[in-house]
Amino acid sequence: MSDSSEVNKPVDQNTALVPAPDRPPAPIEPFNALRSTTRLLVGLALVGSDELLKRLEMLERDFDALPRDPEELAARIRTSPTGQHIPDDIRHALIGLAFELQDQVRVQTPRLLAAADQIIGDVTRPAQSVLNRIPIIGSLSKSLGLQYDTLQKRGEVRLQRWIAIGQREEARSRVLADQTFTQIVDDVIGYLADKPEVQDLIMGQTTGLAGEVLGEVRERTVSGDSFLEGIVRSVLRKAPRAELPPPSTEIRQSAVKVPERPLVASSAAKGDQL
Amino acid sequence: MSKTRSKGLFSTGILNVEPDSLQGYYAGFASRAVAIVIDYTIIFLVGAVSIGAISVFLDLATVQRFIQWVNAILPGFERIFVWLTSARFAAIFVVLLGYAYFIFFFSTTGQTIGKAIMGLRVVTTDGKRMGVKRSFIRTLCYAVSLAPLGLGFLWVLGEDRRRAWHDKIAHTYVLYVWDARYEENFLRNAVYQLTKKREATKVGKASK
Repeated sequence: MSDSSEVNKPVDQNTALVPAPDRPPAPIEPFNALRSTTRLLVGLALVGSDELLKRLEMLERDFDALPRDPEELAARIRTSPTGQHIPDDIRHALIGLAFELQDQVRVQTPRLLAAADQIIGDVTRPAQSVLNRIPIIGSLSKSLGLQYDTLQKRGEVRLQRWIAIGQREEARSRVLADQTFTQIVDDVIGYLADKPEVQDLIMGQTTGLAGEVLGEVRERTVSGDSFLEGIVRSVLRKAPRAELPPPSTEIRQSAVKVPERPLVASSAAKGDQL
Repeated sequence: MSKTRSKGLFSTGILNVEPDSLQGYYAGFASRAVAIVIDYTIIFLVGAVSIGAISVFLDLATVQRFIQWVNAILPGFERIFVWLTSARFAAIFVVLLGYAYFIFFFSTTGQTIGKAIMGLRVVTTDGKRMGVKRSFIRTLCYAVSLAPLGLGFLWVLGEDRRRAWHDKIAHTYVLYVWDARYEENFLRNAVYQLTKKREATKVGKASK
């Protein structure tokens, strides 16, 4: 509850209009080439790892979904250089070792660390109690212990600093790597698009492809012409065509060259058969 | 120019003869149908865009003010603009556009865009290019061919010179102007499918 006298206090006009102080903006960091390069490399490593892991996951999933033919796989192994030169047993043992080692490292490392800790504790505790009884060594041991503690604290502080830097830099590094990659791709595409040779190549390929498709469509419709005709003739019980009736030479020539436009006089003379 | 095959695809009764090239030969139903579908697609697209543009233009505030101003001087004038946005006008516009399209292309090159894509050309019976008059009559006669459920167009399938009714009336032929050839795989597959069906029908009848 606030004091009533404070509530009824007249508002000072000068202070009331002053906005609440904002958080000070982060100081703009001057460009540092080394730092930026490091950021880029870190970003590329992170983004690259992400992409690699994504693809690996996809490939593993594909392999599980569509298992290959064992015969085919065996044949491929037999014909490969490693399959031909390294005896099967040795090769299999080495591969097995790699996988076993990886599993062992993953499972045994925490156990080994805990055991080492235990052993060191067991060994140093009685020794320390004995050594502490000797005056010079006792003070030396205390001093060493203090130094160790200081070192440990410094290590922890440094680790915390690294974590803080990592948290701050990760997102920025990723964005920088993404943007750099996109920019490079855009620049390369822009450069290629500006090259007349590339343009000619693309144009030529596009035209060639369109021409091929058109040719295919035309051929199919020409086939369709005769095919449909054949069906209709068989339905109407008409004899199949002995041959397609050839038009006169004059008409066939008109298909090769653009036919001339009939002159008014000549068409008038012929009566323009309509 | 043509050679007869005794075995295989061309001995199925559907095709007996395989010419080396069909350039200059009369074009068949499928090619012409595809060409006309392309042409009508173009006509409808251009018509739709034009009618849309007219509607947008008439909806402009300045044009509306102008119409009201003219209507104040000449009462009833705005009915013309109302008619311009009606479905009837759209239909008439598309039909006229179609006529203009066919007449223009037939009389200038003998090929509409669809026919040019399919490699076809319309020529007179003496191998010349059509004039405006003949182009007009041929285009007008599309309606005649279409009227009895498109029988005039289907006539191409049975006629020796592959002529539709509008070709007969306007004395024209439609020719392949490209180095036309059969697509043998397609044709073989089509013939195979057809013969398989026929055999299945025969077996079905025999079992009954």
